[in-house]
Amino acid sequence: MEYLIHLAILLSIYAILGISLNLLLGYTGLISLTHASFFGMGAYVTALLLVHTKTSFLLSVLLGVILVMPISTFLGMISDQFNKNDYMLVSLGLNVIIFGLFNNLSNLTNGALGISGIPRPVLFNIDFSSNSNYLLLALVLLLLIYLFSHYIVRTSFGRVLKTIREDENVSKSFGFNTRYYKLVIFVITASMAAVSGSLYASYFSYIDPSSFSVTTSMLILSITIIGGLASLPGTLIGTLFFILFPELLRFVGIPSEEVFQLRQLMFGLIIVLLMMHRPQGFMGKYKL
Amino acid sequence: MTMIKIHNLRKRFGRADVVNNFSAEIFKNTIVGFVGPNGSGKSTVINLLTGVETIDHGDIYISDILVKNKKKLINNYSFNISRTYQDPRIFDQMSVLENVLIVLNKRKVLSSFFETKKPFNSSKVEEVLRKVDLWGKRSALAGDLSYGQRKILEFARVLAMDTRICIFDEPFAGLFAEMKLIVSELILDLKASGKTVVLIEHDMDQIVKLADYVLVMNAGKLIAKGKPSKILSRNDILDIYIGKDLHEK
Repeated sequence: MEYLIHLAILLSIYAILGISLNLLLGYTGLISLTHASFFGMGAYVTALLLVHTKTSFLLSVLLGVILVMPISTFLGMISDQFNKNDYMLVSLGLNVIIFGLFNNLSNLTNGALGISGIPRPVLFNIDFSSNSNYLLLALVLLLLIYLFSHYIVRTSFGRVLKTIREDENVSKSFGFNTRYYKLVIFVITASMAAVSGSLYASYFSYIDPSSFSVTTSMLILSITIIGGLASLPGTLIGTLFFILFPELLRFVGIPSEEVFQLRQLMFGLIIVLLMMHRPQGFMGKYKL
Repeated sequence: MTMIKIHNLRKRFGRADVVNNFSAEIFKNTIVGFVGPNGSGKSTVINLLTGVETIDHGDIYISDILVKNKKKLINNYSFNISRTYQDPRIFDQMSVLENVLIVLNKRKVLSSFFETKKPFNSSKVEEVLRKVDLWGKRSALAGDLSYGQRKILEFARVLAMDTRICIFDEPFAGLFAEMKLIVSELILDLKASGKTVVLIEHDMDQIVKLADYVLVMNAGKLIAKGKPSKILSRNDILDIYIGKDLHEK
């Protein structure tokens, strides 16, 4: 049972990341590989505040988001200078730079050694140190983010995002300042990734920069594409697949140290096959 | 009253002067036929007018306001212009309904964030889609429509935008006779409701039937303007339009 709860917590954390990227990629058509950085920023803010101060978990989540908002605004403005194809390369470069900062700002992040001893929260007199309680917290945050995203894609704002994905120039000619729309959705999704990072840090009680590298961005991208572009339920399916697939490999007797490499290989293969035969992913509505 | 005034417009692609000192006036509440052989520069003039291309030299005034068109892609909507393209540019992976609904959206980011369902927009979309006979296809993806239906959908967007100036780039190309009839009636309706319509078209029967006057372009220049029946029966225009040899035959 404890094992299943652990998987459900992982599912919640990565589903938030997947949903955030799906708003950007599936609905707006922007491929970003910077999301692991925002995930990391949220994680580091929570880790530092919970380890060194008596800040409450929810306040640390909020402060993580507050930190990420101006940074993502700045990075979003930089990224907007490039066309859609270069956008991905720029986002990759930004992730590499921020990963370097996580590693090298040792005074703050403790570099490659990471930060340990991050406590689990106690909120409204509920102690979340047990996994079952923590699952509740993770599910509540996932539900809030899912509902918020569901709202976004049903508003006129969400409709404009889709026109940016389809033909940004025509969208501009209709009087939409697409630059602002792209920036706003970038900041919203970066903030969601930061919330996921806070959950991650507190759950594992240890973080180091390796969790926030380009590989993580690629995994978030895989979740989004496999589950389905422009489909929020699809992202949940993609995350479920992403969480359960390596576990299945363990059950068939593959040593755990080889599971990670094999997982990467299989995800790569699945994405290639999907692009060839079902480019919109399992439940997607949009083809890349 | 002049709605659009174009003065000494010039556009060069590489070494070719695609538009060369083009000047013209388009009057309010008229249908203007914009004709000329392929490659004469008609679409480029429209692209300059709607900001798809940047102007090298010259001025465009819309309702006496100088359009600062040095940057690419002006916001046509703010100049009260809507247009269609030679190859329809609809949002393929959105529904037919959404393709029309989008032009009724609030434009500002914040207000669009709080706009979900609006009865006015829904009824307007229904009215427009029924008019062009696409209401039955409202839930279909726009990309799944036939070529003719895609053109009609683009037309529906123009109707929904309700701008003062409507520009149609070859609206009859690739349409069946029945659809052509619908489109020509819609164009006449637009004029009747006070709009200014610019029509780029090769179908001379439609131009004669619909246009109040025509502008004829060749090799980037305006070579004639006037009543369609007079201009389009001139031998020099026919020589240019269909080729001298063919005309003499």
